[in-house]
Amino acid sequence: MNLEFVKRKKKLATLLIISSILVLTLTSILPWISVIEKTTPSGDTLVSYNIAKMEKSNDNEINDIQKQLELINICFWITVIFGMISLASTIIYITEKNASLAQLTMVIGCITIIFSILGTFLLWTLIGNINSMNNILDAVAFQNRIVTIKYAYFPLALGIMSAIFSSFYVIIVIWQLVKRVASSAERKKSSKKETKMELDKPSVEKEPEPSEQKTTFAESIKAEKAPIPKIIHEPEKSAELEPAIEVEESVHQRKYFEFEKDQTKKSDSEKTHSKELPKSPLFEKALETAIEKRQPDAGRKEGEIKKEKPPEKRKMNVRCPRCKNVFKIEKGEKPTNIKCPKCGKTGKIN
Amino acid sequence: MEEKPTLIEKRKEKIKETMLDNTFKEAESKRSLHSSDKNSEKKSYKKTFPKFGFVLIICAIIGFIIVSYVPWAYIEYGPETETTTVTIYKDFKIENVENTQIRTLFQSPDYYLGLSVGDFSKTATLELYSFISLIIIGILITIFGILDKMRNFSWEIFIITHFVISTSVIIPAIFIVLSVAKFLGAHFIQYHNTLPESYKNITILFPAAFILIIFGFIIIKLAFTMMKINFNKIQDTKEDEFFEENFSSTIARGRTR
Repeated sequence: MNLEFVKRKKKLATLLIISSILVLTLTSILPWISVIEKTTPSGDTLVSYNIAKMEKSNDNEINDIQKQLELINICFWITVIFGMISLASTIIYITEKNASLAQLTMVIGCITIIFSILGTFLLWTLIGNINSMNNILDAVAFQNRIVTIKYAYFPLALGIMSAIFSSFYVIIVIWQLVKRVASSAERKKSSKKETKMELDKPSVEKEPEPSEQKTTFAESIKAEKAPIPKIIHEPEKSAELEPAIEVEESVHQRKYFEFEKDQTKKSDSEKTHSKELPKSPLFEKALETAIEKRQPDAGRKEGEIKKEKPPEKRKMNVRCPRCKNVFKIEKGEKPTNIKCPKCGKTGKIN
Repeated sequence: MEEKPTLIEKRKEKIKETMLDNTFKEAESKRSLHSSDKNSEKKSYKKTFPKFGFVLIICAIIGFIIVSYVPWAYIEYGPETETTTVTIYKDFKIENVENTQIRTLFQSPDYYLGLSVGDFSKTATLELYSFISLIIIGILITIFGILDKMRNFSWEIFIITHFVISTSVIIPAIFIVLSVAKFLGAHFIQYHNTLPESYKNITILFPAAFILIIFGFIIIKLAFTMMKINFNKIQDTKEDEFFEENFSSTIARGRTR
């Protein structure tokens, strides 16, 4: 699983949701238009309208603008909802619980690109429409000789940002999906080739499937029909830790099985132990040689550790739950009984 | 010239190596040579009872208090010597003496601020519904926590469900913000538009709307924080798994070389 991809995807989805929420908020708060009204005999006055004031107006043109703003709001609401779905897909994807559901939600999340771009486009056209109307102007936030900043530009900027985030999101999702499909196709091809090769050479012994590779050595020995690996010495390669297991049926193996059966019958305690690793002199010897080969000083180290290092005692501070007194104790590997020197409360530390 | 190993030979070698690896790991664990690695193997996601549900319920209760007891509009007008103060609560309940002049500010067909008397009651109702939905989500999270204690869901299901419920909090939180946004808009408009002369020296504030907008954004931030916490936890777990899968055998080999 690509964690970097998941992080990026999550970040983009979060930014997309935040920018869309801000567009929605600014659309409701900011004054959008300034209408020239002849209210006083001295001259015309500019009256600013926000979306709530537009709703209550009787002018058809203003009502049209309000309807267009409502449409923009719907677009960004849908963007928020699909952004949330894409966020949820991130968590489903990372848990690897349901890969198909994760992919489906990821693809559904890609719909954000449609609505964010549509919303931004509508905002852009709305600004253009307002400029072309008579008696209606864009509400100005800041005016200078050089620059004029209109209120409508703020949601537009955020809309463009959300469109960019959604397009980046779609790009990385599609890229990841394509990569996945390509890798799965490659895997299928290689597995087909291998099976063909095996069919061509029937003399070659059956080897365990890749899924079986994960099973332990002890389990593979326990299975009656499974080939038993025999560890042999290869002095030249031992330094490089090359494996030297020969898979072959031999008289030794049969003897080993008989010996193993005798051993398991002898004692119940050994039975439970043999579930994890079979204990027999032959096996122990083989295992020791393998360990020595891979870690030449392992056996020695083990002995040294046992002799040289007695169980370490750690000093630690403990706070009594009753009187809140803090005191020092020495803790070994086993659970230690402790007693508070102040109040006498006893307890156990694992 | 050495002969190149065939594909089957290569595969055979690989299988041998993996078998030896597995045997070696088992031997190591049995002889407690790898005691330090045991702790890292045990490291996994620890489920904790989701407290976010309680947080949401508390937030909703605070929201109810704000909607009911904080004034929706605070108006001060008149000449400096005789200023009149009017406080309006939800459903347009005017605390002081009934003031017709203020009533016309929200009832005249011009709607100077873009607000009507109906907006005061409608918005308050919408806010209450949003807070009720927050309480429902909070209860759902808590019930899910209790169910998890009883049935012990897998950590993946636990985290996905918790994450999705936390994400759904964003929707009522946006409603909380957007429904009162018109009051903030009215505040903006009063600086742009000139009110009739009868309303000279008027100052209008919308305390409940301001507080609710901030509160709504706090709830959105909380939801995102919860999502981030869940995501980071799961990411750490996955990174550990990834490290163990890919590097543990390499470390074991590195030690021997």
